[in-house]
Amino acid sequence: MARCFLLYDDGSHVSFNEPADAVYHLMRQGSAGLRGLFAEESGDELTVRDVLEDMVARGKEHDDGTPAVLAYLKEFFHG
Amino acid sequence: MAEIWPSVAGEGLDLALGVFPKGGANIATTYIGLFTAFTATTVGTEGQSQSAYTEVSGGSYARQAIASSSWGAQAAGNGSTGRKTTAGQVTFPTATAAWGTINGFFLSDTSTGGAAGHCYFAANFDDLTAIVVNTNDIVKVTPTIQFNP
Repeated sequence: MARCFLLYDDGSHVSFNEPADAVYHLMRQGSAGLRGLFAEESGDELTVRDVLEDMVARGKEHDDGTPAVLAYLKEFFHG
Repeated sequence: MAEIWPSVAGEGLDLALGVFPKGGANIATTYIGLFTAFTATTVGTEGQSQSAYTEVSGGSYARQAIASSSWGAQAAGNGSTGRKTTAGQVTFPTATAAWGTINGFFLSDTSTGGAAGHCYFAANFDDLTAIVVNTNDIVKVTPTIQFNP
């Protein structure tokens, strides 16, 4: 998956090279004003499945932080 | 905040001349990146390109896009002369590992790190002090471009 970005209600955004980095950012900074996570090239909103599939593809399914990551994914992202 | 002086990167001067008076196309998207090359008070010379600007790598670092609409109206420059425009504050991803010592930022036309693309402008930070980024730190930059006559 290509780059993605978190979009906030005030129009600001933060770009990431991979979705897992966006999840880490949310875990550290919170999700106040978050509108969603979107693919930079297509503009499509990413789902939990999209994020997880990308993490698995990058070999990150066994990261120690996976349970926490999953909790955040379920809370903040659709699908 | 940080300021960018147009004499820094020859590629930036070529871009400006290409748009006016030559009527060429502007770049599609502007990206901002952070460099570790040079010092907290120096940037590359006019003849140096993107490859000279050693960039942060890893630790969830990613260049950030700046939409054209983010740049504010042209205004009087800092000091006694010139004109400037300032973009909205740019937030970089939370560092998941140490990024090292950052001496400033640059503007490019590509989202890809490394030596890809062009370095149009570069600057140190306003206080001329490097920043050391460690795990869980967040870097925020409010870039200003100023042209002096």
